[in-house]
Amino acid sequence: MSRPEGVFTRVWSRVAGAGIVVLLHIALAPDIHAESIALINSYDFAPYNAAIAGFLNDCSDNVVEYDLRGEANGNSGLIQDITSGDPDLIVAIGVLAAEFSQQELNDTPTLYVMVPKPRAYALTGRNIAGISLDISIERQLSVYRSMVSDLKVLGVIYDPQKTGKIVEEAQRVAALQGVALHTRAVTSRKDVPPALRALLKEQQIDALWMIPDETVVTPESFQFLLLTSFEHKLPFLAASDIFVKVGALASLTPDYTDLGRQGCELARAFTSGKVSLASMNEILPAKINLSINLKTARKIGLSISEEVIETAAVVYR
Amino acid sequence: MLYSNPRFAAVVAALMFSCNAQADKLNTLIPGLYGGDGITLAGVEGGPFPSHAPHFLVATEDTFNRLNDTISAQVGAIPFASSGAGFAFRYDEDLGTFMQIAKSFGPVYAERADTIGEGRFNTMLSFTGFEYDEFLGQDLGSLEVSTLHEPETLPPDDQRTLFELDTVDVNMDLNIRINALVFAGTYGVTDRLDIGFLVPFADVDVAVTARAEVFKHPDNPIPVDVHTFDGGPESPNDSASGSARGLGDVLLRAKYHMLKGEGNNLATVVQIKTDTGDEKDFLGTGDKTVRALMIYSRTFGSFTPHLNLGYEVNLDDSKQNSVEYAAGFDVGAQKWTLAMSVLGSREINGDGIADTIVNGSVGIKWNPFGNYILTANVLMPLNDDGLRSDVISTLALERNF
Repeated sequence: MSRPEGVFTRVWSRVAGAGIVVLLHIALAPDIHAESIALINSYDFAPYNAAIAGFLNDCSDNVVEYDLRGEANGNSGLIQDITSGDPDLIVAIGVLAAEFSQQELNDTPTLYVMVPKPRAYALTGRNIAGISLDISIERQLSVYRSMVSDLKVLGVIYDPQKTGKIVEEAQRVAALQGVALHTRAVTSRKDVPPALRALLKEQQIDALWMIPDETVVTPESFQFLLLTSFEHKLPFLAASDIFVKVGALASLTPDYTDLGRQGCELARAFTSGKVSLASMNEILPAKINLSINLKTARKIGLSISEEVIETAAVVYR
Repeated sequence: MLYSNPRFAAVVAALMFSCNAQADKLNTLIPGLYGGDGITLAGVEGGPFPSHAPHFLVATEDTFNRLNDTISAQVGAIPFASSGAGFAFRYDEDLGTFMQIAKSFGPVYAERADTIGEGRFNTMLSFTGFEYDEFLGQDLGSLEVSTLHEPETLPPDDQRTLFELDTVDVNMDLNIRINALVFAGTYGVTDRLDIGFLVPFADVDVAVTARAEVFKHPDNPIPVDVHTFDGGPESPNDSASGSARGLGDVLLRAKYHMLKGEGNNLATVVQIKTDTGDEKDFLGTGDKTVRALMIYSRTFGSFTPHLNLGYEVNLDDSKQNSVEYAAGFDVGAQKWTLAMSVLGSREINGDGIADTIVNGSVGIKWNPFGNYILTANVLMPLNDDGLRSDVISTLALERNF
């Protein structure tokens, strides 16, 4: 017959042993709550690479990188690689990666980064959301009004087929800010010079606004627009920093590296359950870079305040 | 030994023995050697031979001006201001905005179809330096020409016999160095039309050393040496040197970009060369010319092949009218461009000297900052016609406004 002390000892030792095993299992087992991210790049492209660098600078743990190399079709191997990794979130850099993820990996939530006009690509739904490349008209007008203090009338030339919706939106927003938008529609680049001459002849405009319209903005027409803006001492507000470098007054462009950082922030918020993709509207870039050409400002007799100059990311002197 | 090329001998000797010497000008240096009237040896008196002062001359002189043109011709071979890279961009669908396109800076000596753009201005300052090394494939450091005895000493007058067969062979060391500082400008009148000018300032140095030696012809049966410098009026050695600096031949031109597009591009250039440079000092060719050139180029990303074909009319000497051509490419990105071309010209009714000139050009263009472009180029002969330099080096600095 066993003594009570021996029974207790045997039971206790077994319980203790099991407890140690459980504790060890918990300590050594992988963190079952760490979320994994599949980062898909559309192709090797400097702006995309900047965004990826910004993303990885803040979110480097549990991120597996993939590259479509510009080809979304026939990528079954890549699809298999990604799905076998069972990511909790896909971060898609660029249009191609976003569309690829939506079509081939739609079971996995996708956060896109650096997509212009996402609705045009039908990147909407419960399982997809992200950060666009678009800068709101409000923001643009607000910045330009801070540079050109008496900005009341803005002239713009556009192709209705390409940028009609932007102009429509701009008309509405400008009116709310007390700015009149005077427009001329064209259908070919050859119409740009007569359109600008008509705009200047018929109406007094305070600035010329370039929207990203490839009918209107060509190497030939840009020279004409630029030279005419000089002749009439008109602030020429461009669609990209590359134009400011060669003489336009100013431009606003998203900060690509910061877009990556912004993407990381959203990815963390999603994986921690703080936000859901379904509840996200199209998110605009947080950081916008202002480029100013002070030499142009002097040439057209425009004085820009030091406060505004200090906010500029790029200043050409 | 003797250099028996009759063309070469005629040209060089004609330089030596021209009778129209003008001591102040470079083109009189070589003709002025040995007094400028041929080589006269010690007089022959008494004995079985007629008394005479042996006088040696070249057979013809009319190639003299061709060499003069050839010396100054390279002063005009200065690269014109390139059209530069210009500002090129494209709409990027994936970014929804415009991206700048890397475009090469264009060739150095040849042309591509691009113009610089309306209202734009390009200026260039360049330095070209070279020394002539060869004439008709012969080293200028050791030129040889054989001068002939006057045939009238012994009958018959139109034929050389006995001691008249002897020659005086002259070995010359000829140094011709040219440096040219060039200022050029191009203005874009419209997006398709450029006008431009080029003003060269040249610095020319010529130095020649000559050593003459009597050669007794093997068919001269006379056992004694009839001909000698000893006791004669001239030394077998002579030398001359001089330099000149001044304005070269000014160029004016217009370029029109006829066919402009993403693919094939065609342009035409009309270039007028004036005669503002003093030809007597080898600062200019002495001729006015008009050149018309058709240019084809096509860009494949950063690679642009080009083809030039043209005709140059010499308004002062139609025999020097020539076909001009060039083929090559330039390749590069925003900061660097490598340009290579083969350039040639062919005189349609030439006189056999410097009729066909073919050169190879290799150059690099670099954009160190802003709108500046620095160019380094070498031009090398690919054939040996005419008066040539082994390497013609050019350094240029351009700025686009």
